[in-house]
Amino acid sequence: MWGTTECGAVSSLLWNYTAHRLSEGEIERVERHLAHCGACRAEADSYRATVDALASIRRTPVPESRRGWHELYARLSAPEQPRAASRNRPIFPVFAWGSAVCAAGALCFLFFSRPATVPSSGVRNSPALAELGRGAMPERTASAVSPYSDVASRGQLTNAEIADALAAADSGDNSAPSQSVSHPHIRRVLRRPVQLADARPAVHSYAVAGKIKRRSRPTSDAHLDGRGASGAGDQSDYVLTPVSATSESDAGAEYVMGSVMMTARSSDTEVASGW
Amino acid sequence: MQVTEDQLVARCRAGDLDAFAQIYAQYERQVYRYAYHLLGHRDDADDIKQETFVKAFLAMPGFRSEASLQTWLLKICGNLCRDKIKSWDRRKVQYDARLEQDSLPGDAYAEDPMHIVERSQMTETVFIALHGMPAAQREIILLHEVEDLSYEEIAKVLGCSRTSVKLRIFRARRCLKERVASLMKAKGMDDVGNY
Repeated sequence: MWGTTECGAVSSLLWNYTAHRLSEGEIERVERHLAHCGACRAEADSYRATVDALASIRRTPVPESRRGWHELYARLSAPEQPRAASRNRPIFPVFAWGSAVCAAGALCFLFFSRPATVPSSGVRNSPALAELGRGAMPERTASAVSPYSDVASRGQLTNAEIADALAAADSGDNSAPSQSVSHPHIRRVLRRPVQLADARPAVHSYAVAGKIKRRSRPTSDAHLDGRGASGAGDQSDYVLTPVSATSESDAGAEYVMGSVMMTARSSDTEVASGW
Repeated sequence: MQVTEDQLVARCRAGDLDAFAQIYAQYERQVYRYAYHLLGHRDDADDIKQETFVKAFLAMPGFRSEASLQTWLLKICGNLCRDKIKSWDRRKVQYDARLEQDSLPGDAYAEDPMHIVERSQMTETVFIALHGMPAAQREIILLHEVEDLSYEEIAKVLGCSRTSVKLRIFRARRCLKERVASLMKAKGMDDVGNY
């Protein structure tokens, strides 16, 4: 009754059957056939493990990208022509003229439309960057005046860099407690306070979306604020924490808006750049 | 007010980097993931991701809205990945199975560790099988099975007909199934991935 013709027809449906992509009528047809055909049942089973593994690949996060928007932005807004960053030969020499025209256009646009540099006070609030925020991220104030705005003038970190790092973090998965960003000074953005695992190296501080908190007292925990974790005892370590942070250690701390910095992990050879 | 894709493209054509930032934010993870699965290497995937968006920005004046931004970006990415693969002396098969702790899905912590191990072994087997396939077959499997694109969208990415996509997917699946079966046999696993 179930000839090779029916086996052939059902066989072509088996992959999508195991991937749950068939219509109800097709499912019925396949299951009716599988009830009587051991060979096709075995074939379906052999597909199932592969289909499930592909679904797992789809669900499993890949290693985080180390390069982000700020780097691309710098490259696209540079006055010289963007060149391929690949270790191999340049990839698109044919776009040399086009890229020259576009780069010139971008340069003119930037020159005539808005200041290229970021004001030293307040966090840069590009509407586009603000729109990058998704999920339950706290809204950043358009032009917060920071008592620590002189930090930007020190050349350590500009508000634009922080905004870019926060925007890069915003483009990640907002359900994750933290997001790595590719930045020479900002290591990771936290969306909520995270108690570091013991196995992790002590991290001195993080930049997060929200307000800056300046520690009013030291802590001996390998906590995210970084004071005491390295033993540096630097009174001027700052950390941004989410507005919604409610841990006991946050009680009594001052909250200010403005820029912040990061230092390196104590066990890394990464050069610290902070104050 | 939500900005449409057409509005973003129009602004990008005028050189608006803020508009391009939105496009980047929306598609960079998918482009990176696609490159990573095609190449199997994080640094290469990073390079390709950035080059994809540079190329996209420069080519934006010529972008026609017949295709979506998603398929257009994946097409650029796929082309760059193919160039990269061709430039290799030998294929890299490198699967970084170590997931960062804070990037695991929330329910992973509640799962039986044995299930996680078995699933990750099967996943690794399929990943290795994928990277042993010809790049063109790997590409079409990734587009359909991992990136979940329809046949029509895949046809736009690959620049071929829908019928051609169906045929190529059929052949790629058969090839993948055979490679997985061969790898599982070598590892002493049965047809469903058990030892």
